[in-house]
Amino acid sequence: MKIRQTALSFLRRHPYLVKLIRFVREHAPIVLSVGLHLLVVILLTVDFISTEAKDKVVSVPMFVVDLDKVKVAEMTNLPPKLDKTKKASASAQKSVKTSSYSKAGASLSRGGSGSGAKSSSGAHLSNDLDKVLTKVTKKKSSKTDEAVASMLNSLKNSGAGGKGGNTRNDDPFKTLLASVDGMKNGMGRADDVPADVNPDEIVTEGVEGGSGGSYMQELSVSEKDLIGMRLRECWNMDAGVRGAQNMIIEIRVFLSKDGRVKDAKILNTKRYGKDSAFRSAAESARRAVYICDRKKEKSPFAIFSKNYEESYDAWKTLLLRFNPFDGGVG
Amino acid sequence: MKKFLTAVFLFMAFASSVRAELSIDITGARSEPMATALPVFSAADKKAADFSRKITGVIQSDLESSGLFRILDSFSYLQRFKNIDDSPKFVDWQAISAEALIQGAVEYVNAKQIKISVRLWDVPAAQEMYSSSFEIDEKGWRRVAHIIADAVYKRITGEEGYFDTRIVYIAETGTPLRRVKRLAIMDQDGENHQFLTDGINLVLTPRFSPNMQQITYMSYYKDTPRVYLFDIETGKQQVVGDFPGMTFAPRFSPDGHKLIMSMAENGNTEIYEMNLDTRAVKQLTRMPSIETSPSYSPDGKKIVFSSDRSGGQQLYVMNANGKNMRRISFGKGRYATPVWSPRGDYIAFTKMAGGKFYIGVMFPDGKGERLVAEGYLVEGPTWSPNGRILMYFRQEPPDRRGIPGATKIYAVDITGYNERRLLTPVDASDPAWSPMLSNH
Repeated sequence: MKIRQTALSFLRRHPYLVKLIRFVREHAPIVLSVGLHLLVVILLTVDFISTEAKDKVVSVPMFVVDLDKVKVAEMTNLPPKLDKTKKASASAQKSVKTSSYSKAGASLSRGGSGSGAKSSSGAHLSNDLDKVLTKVTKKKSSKTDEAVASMLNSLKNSGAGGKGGNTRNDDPFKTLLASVDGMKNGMGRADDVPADVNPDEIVTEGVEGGSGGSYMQELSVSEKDLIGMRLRECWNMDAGVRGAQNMIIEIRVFLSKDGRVKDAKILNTKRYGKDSAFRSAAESARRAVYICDRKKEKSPFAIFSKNYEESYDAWKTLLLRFNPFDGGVG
Repeated sequence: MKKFLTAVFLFMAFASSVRAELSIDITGARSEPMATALPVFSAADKKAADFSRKITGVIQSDLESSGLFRILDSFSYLQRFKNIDDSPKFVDWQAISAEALIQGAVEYVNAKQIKISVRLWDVPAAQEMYSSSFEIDEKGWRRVAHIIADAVYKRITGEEGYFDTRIVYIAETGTPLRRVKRLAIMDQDGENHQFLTDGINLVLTPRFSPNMQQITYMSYYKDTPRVYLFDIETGKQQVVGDFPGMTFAPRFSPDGHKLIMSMAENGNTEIYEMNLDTRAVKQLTRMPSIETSPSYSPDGKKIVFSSDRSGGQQLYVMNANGKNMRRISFGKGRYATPVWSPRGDYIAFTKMAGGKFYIGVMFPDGKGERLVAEGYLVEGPTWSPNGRILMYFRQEPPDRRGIPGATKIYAVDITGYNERRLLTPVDASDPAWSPMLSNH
């Protein structure tokens, strides 16, 4: 009651607020619309700032491993003794293996992020593992064994803590335990590599079912340039057209899974309808998309289906920005 | 509230999906003639087939002369059209790398009238871009061919065409000492050539009026240069105004109601404007120097002219009432005969520097000067009505005996490419391009 009274007296002292509220009530749809637009603009602005900031940092592709899909290859860069233990555990269940120990921790922490308990245990695991690694490498005394043993215990406990769910999630931990076990014996030795394995093969086949370049963040600058260059070769436009220096033609391309153009839509519909010179430039850009598309393996869009087949969602539509002005005649 | 939240959620989803889309920039394009397929228009009978061949031929030469189209060899065409409703098999046309396809048909609707139908296709996108049909007396086939070429040109380049236009020029015959200069007119492709004057009096600098009915030029009247008006239909000519001195360098205003020209009196040349309806004369410049070669901007609000007030001959722009003069050319050499482009974006001029002549263009503020032609003598640029092509005349250097070289008319694209000669029966100079005939 008291709050209401204060509110009312506050409103009495500030009559413009009453007017404002009345205005909002009377023009609800417009206010809502303006509000939503503002919200979108703010969201986009915030987004732009954050993406710009990211661009300044060297982008590191996200490293995610789906534990269900990971298999252990015949070739491995795990220590030789582990190989035997691994076979024992892997024969019974699916297991995880990654290219380096530190990444193993990281991948586990991400891979296990399905539940809170799992993710925290994963994080522990990676931290603890780092400690183990430094200890093992720094001093090779008998105390290391003790430290490792105690660490193993803690790991086992944390594993047990997360056990509430299904048992399958234990597998990575077991594997990791095994690998730590292997570390205990094999770390620091020059002959980490199994004798029967060619070192070159380790590099190429060390990880199977890993990240394998299937994420669009990895579309390199050179690939982007290559696509732009190929489209430029397909684009034939009259250089003397009026106002070529201030035309940007945006075309949305819809691609099929095999990298073929399903449709190409000119986005600047307002100017397209009014400005005949712009219309002709936009149509020449659209022709470029179709001409390029028919170049089969030399099509710029074939790069996607060839190198990024898995992440079709990321490239099923593309935004192409054609700018005819290259410092030529304007 | 629920609705509101859903809306917010949808907006956010939309916003994030927009951001997530992969975008690629393409900067700069090739600029080559467009590969165009132009099969001979299909004809209903033998009589129509004769016209269909001729019409297709004119369209082909129009489009090719622009330098923006390359007509593909008809031997490579895989599809034969039976009539205008025959849909193109795009795969067949894509196979020969055609970017555009012009499909047409000719048929007789009665003894003298022919109907010409045309469709333009975007081959890579498999879309129709334009379709139309014309019914005319069979004698008018050539003009309809030009009109179709203009329509194709406009639809593909986004700018008005210029094929349905005419050129007036000065036809020169006789020996160097007894030169006969006659006014002549022809289509822009050199067809329908015709002499307009008998050559008894010397004629120079002809200009078209915007309404196409009249030509203004300088001729001699009792040994004094005077500005004349010539009516194309009646063939009558009249002296413009009763000026005390000699008058020259005339041009029409964009609305055709005024004439602007120079008058020289007591060694001083100034710019004058004459209202053709009331015949009232107004002096626009008052300087001790020479002001000449005036040309209106397409909106009629400004005038570009040349003047030697700063010593050398340079270009200046002023308001149509003579106020607010400022110099726009600052390059080395002399600048003369400025002409404002009909699309307003450039001023063309003749430049003399280092013993050579040039034809060039610059923006109306004097920036972006570019030279598009050069020679021993190149002079007198005139714009195509779409502001895309410049026509001018070129004289070859004299031979060893000192006999002056031949003069010929040339045209060049404002990009500086595709220079070509216009064929005339005799030597030709001082060309002037007409507005579009179909607009009148």
